[in-house]
Amino acid sequence: MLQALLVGLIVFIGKADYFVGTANLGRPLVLGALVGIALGDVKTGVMLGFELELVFMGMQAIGASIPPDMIIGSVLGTAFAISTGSGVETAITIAMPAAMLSAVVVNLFYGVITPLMAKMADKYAEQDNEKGIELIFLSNGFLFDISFAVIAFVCFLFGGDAVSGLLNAIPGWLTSGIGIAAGILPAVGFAQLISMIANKEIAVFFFFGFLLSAYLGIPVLGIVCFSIVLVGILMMSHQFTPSNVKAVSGKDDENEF
Amino acid sequence: MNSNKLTQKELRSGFWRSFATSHAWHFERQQHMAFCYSMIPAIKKLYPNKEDRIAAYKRHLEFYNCQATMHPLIFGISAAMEEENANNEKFDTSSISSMKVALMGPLAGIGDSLIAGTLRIIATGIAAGLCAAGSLAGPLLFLAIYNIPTIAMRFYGVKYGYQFGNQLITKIADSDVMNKITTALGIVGLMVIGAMCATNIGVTTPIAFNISGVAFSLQETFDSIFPRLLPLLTIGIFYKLNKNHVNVLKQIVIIMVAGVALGALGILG
Repeated sequence: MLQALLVGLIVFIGKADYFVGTANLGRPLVLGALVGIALGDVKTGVMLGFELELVFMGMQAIGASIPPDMIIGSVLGTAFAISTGSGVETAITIAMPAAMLSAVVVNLFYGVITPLMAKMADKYAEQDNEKGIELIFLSNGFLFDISFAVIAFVCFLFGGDAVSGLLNAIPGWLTSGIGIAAGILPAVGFAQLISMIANKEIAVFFFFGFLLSAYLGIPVLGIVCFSIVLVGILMMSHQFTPSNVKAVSGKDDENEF
Repeated sequence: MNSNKLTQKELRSGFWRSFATSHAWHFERQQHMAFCYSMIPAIKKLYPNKEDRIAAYKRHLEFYNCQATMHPLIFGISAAMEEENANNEKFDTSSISSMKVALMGPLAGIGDSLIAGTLRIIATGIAAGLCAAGSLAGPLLFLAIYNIPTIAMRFYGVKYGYQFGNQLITKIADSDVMNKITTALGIVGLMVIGAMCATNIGVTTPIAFNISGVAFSLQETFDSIFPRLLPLLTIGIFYKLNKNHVNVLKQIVIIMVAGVALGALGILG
């Protein structure tokens, strides 16, 4: 019981890494050592953590992509391996359903719970209530961390079978539907940004950036370089005359969502 | 004209708050709440009027996403621009948003490859020997190698970001130049958003026919004629909804229902 609580706490620390500067506390290397300390076998913990680190080496949250849940996976993997005295392979097989279940919960937060709570933050902003914004931000972040701590706690307490059963109870159409929605959701945020920045004069540059990326696959840094050159060319051809930029301050349709 | 200046206190507070970058991340606006969280002390200090504060909170609750270590730098520049806005009636606030968009893409790219990619791998490599031997010093060394440089970058990010932002603004106090800068930032920002829409919105269709024995996949046809056509149509739809002031909450619900329904019908996937 105490061990299960500690396992939950370690997952919490790993997830809360996002609160303390994405300091890599959530890497298997670090989590393995923490599990080792908690379960009284530091040496094995560090070694297993390192083995798992090599497995997860290339996995890192880059941009909007979500890697498999390495935190739950590596904490439960190390914990099961130490408590049952078995190797890292068997532990991974037990921990994998938990990592998959976590992916569902991750999507639930990223796609449903957090965007809805963000709407509440918008409402507080409208009321000049900065404490409210802070409250939503902090409570949502820690709610996320705690949810995974609870998942890890339950998994460690009841073992892998219970987790597989729960995972199988979630209908496939729901998981795939949320996956599709997750692909569409960024469009909402981008559309707001476009309304904020764009006006008729410069809207065409949105399409230019889109097409450069879609047809030529130019990465974002390259797009920035091209756009700076483009700005230079426009400057040289004196396109930025005052009469031309007047439309830029057409604020009417900008700040209204 | 009032003269509201930021002090060390708000900058330091923003520095500490910027550690929370990826907390409360979500698909729609990603790290926006964390960015707003770091701006709150500066906004409270700069704007005595309620309306100005509300506008600033809303401005910084817009979409934001960048590599975590780069947050303090963008915070510093934003703080300097907000300071100018508080003291200059002619300041165009859309340039603050444009600046954030123009910087977050490239800085994310640099941060991901330099810090998340290179520095982390170097730290792992150096600590590997100790870890393989099961020594607790391994993970500690790993954390030190990774975090000492990144925390230093955060510290100097706020400092130089704020100074840079200030210098930039004093040079361009003239409103004609400001207009040019706003347009230039807008162009860079829009091109970056365009590229990010093309790569980050994931909409594909599994629709396929069998025309007299020849397999025909709609998605492959799109890919060969107009790649990323579906994401472009998607952003078009949501841009329209936004223009028509459809509530964001409604938009999210629509997406959820549409995702499940169109997925079940085999139209999207």
